Amino acid sequence: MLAFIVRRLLTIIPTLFLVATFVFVLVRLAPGGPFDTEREVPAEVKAALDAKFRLSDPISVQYKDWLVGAVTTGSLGPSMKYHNRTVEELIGMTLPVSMELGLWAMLVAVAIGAPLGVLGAVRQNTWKDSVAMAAAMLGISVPRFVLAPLLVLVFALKLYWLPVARWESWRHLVLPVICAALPMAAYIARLARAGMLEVIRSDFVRTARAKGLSERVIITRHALKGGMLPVVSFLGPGFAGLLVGSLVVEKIFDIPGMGRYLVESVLNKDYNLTAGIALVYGGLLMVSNAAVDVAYKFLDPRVELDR
Amino acid sequence: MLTRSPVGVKTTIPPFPEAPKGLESIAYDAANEKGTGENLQLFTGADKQVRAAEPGQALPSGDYDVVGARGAVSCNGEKTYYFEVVARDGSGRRGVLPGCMLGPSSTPPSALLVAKWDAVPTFDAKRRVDPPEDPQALGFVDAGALGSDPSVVGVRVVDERTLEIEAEFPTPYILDTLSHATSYPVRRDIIEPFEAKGEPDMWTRPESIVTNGPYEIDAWKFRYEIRMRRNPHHRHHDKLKIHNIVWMCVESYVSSMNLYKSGELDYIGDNGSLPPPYKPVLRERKDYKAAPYLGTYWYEFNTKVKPLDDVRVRKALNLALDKAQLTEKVTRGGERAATHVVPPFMGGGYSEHVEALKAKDADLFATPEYSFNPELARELLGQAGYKVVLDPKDGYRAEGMPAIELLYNTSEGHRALAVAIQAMWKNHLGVAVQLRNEEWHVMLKNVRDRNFQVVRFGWIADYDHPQTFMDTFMAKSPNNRTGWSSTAFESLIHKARRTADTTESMKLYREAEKILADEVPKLPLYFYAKSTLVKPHVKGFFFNRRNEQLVHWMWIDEDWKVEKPNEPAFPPETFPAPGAF
Amino acid sequence: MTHLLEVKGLKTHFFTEEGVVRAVDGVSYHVSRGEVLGIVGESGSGKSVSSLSTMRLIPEPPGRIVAGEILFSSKGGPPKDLVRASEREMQSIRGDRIAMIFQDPMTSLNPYLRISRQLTEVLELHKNMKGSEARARGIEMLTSVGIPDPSRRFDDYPHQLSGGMRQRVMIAMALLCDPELLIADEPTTALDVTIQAQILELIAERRDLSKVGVVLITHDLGVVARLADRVAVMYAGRIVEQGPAQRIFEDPRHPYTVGLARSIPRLDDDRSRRLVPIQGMPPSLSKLPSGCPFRPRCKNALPACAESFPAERVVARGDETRADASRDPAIGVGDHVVFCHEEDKDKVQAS
Repeated sequence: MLAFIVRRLLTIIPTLFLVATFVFVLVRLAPGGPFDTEREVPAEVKAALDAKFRLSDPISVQYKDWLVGAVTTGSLGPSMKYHNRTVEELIGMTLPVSMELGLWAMLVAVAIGAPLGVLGAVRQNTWKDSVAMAAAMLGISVPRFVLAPLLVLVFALKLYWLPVARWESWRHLVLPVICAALPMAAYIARLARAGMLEVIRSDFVRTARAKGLSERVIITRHALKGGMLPVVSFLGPGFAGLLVGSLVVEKIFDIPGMGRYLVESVLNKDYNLTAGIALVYGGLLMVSNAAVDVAYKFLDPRVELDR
Repeated sequence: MLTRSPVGVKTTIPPFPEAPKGLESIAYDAANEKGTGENLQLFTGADKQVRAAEPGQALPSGDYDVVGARGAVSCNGEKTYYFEVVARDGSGRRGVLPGCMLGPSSTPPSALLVAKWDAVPTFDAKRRVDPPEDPQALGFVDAGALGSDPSVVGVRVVDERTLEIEAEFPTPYILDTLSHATSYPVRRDIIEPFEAKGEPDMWTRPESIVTNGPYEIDAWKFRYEIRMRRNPHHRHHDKLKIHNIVWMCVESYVSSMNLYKSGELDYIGDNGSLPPPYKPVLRERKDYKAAPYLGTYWYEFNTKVKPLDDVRVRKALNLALDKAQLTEKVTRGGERAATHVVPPFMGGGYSEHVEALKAKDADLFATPEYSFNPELARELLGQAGYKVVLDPKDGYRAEGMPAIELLYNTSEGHRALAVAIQAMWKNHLGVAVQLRNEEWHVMLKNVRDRNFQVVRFGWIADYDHPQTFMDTFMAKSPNNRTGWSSTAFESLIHKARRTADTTESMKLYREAEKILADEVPKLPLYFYAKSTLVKPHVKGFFFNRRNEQLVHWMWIDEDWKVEKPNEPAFPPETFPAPGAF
Repeated sequence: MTHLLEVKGLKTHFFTEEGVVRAVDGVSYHVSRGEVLGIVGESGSGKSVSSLSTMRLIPEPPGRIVAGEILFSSKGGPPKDLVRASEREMQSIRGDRIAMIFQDPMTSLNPYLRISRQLTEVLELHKNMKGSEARARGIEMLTSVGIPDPSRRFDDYPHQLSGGMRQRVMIAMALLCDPELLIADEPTTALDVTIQAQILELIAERRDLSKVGVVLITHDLGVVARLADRVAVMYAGRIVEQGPAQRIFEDPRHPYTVGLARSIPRLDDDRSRRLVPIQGMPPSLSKLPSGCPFRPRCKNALPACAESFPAERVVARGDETRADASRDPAIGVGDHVVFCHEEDKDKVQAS
């Protein structure tokens, strides 16, 4: 198992390398540069800036230096927009915030979505199922930028239960976490329902019924593991999606997370930051997918990891 | 020719925390300027220590006294001096140090400090080349003169607390330019160690930065908040009623309004406006503050491409726009329709001049010839060869007129305005307009490459004087992307800025503006306005046209609900106006 | 005499959007202790649904038992109608008194749980056994169904076993609580021929040892011939012919039974005999033709066949039909009945 995890993580490295290469080159090919401003700066100033950030070197040289720096010292270079900050510093400040938001949101999404989906499957075609699935449909179709202002309006500005924005105490967590979690919870509910329905209709659940087991035991012991597999395999990309989607939530709730740099760094032509962010998101996506693979092993004994 | 400016500027540079010993023993020996410097091997790299002062001899670290100063050498690419030092420990060790290596007490040799102004050369008129007649000056010091010989800068340190600036000609707005961020005093001794390390930007980090304002940084969570406290060294330290300030860095307007609404913000801040959709509602509120802002929103024409190379076409496009409609229906934030370039509330005597003109009903730019005038616009377009015919079904159609492309950077506000203008040009002139929106940096590149026809830009005043706008129309200005130039305009500007008499000067500026209004290289749309929300318990908030709200003028009134009939309009303590001390 | 299980007039319908599917539409049969009743029919004939109805495992909705009685006499007690039993009562009967074996051992065992868990949970539930006791009983059961090295296999996952082994595990699981009735729904269909024989052997052995009554559901007449004491032939939700196995094979009366018998190879056949498939397709259960459902495929169809489902006609009385004198006198005893208008025609002609 440990060998598998190590091997799985090692396969990430070449992919990550490719991602980094692509992003590094692509951002530089896009028109415009990091030091363009509305007010033209003198050519000497521009040249000095280009020299400072090595932009006058050929891309291959820039790339080699960047890669050597990243591998040997873990340095991703200075931000080209925030000259007094390094990329690793910016990521180090914001990634934990996004991760905290993302992990809580995922936890809440699973805690809400999975039981709802199971309920829908167990009480298939009853009013409970209909209500649960209607709620899920609503959750999927209502985008976060609509949901968030509604939540703020009701819970912060009308009821005064929770703060409107910022990132201070656990109370500041509630609304953004719910907002990030609900669409995902809705999706999980649908996945869980479909997965559970498939399992509930399966032969081995019929066997379990024929044994005289109660409905509760059948669901918890026999159906749940298999029924949750689609949910588990969704959690990997789902978590990455949550981090990317947190862009909206972070903006609306003014949370100092990494989401803002995702789009902003590209628009600012902050080459170093863009490459750093791509590395982090790519790495996170791949690690969470690897985590899903490992989780699969725990859930489904038929999965052979060490093939 | 240089003449002495009638405006004397005395600006205080804050003293260092403690005057270091040994400073008085440093003297610049002009007679010894040549010769000895050649012995030096100077190291200006990352290593803080001077590795070899004299050939083959390293200078050990420790405390030193300066015993003499020697002639000019080059260090970090600039001229500086080196100093003979002797160790304080009595060992008799001697060495030499270049001036650029001497820092404040933080780095060894700790006792030494060399203030930069010892090395600033005084202005020598003899070395000054005559100013070129070609009127292309951009600032108040000729750029050509600056480039050829940095020593001609008419800036002197008179004494430790006085900076003397000599201007080429009477420059009434010089005070205002000094209130711009670029001329704030900074600490050399803080900056230089970072420059030496090759990290010239790092001194601005909260752990390093030293500021001289009424408030200093307490804590800085990057792009989240800046906490400030009273600066104990500030001269008005004990008069500041607000002791701590939290500046929240809020990304979205809606969040900041929510924070304001929930009471977490007392003041929405001066960085940006309120979102236009909310303005009609917010405008009715007592805590809504709005004021004109020194800026002009305009479209720039590429005057080198057809059909925009024809002044009649440009003028027609200008006159076909009902700008009052744009500010009332689209921007909705108290902006004012612009028929000319300089905001009428501009300082430097401009606003007074405009008021006087208006009183005499002699404001040229209020006449129909320069205001919204679709008939005249159609006539001009016809003269340019694009006859405007009225089709009973489709409205106006400019025959033979190619479609115009309007470029703007991606933003909801710019788009709304562009769509409205597209409709106006279609309705009044029958000119088809294609909208093209590009992400900011892409747009800048295309504009630089002259790959545009009409592009959205604007200008925010750097200082409170018409000159800041006029500069952007000079042929050599990098901010003139239109390809348009006019010698008549430039000589008017050249004359105007050298004219000491304000009324005369403003008259010339207005004449120059008329050229702009006649030739329309840029199409002014509106004069900016800024708006914000301030809680009623925040007192001492005064809007100004620079939109610089100084916290040290403000205070919090705990029982603000109680009517105070005798409350002064200004804070009880009078603080100096910005820019003056 | 009370039978172990007696099904009377059972109707199980499915109420779907396409209409009512009459999967079981008036079926009656009975099983005694130690007796094997073979229910034969094509897929879709309702044989599985009838057995699932007995266990009350019809998915509800859309399925529902709309009529009939399922009388089950546990331990010689008074018959209990399972149609009216509560879910709680059913749970105590399922797996304990009535056990079931399913067709596909590949999918009928839970792939996510160890065999040990799947066996011991039955004992925990019905026999109140715990830990090592349940474990010992489980391993014992695996031994008795012929699983080699049972104590090691016990903690395997299903996917680690072969198909035949898995079906043995299924049987062991079914027999753990000494059920009185075993419903085997196509227990050998998914297995290859040699394994089939072993599994049938095993069921026969259990029948003889513990006198368990068996309902053996299959489409394979060969399987029935091997094991069944009596046979019921189902077509389109109805029993069309029923009787002692020997009689059904020797003297099939219903054209469908005749067709079935002709369509399967027999070991004692000479090679020249050709297999004759039954023409046509089984009808859709939601759109049954009027009268006899076999009519569209029947070569001997009469006008009467289109009017009504034929009434029961007794071909031979139960007393005359004892299958095997060496066994319990009650076993294999039952009337040979057939539901066919042609029989009535014979009757008319005879009289």
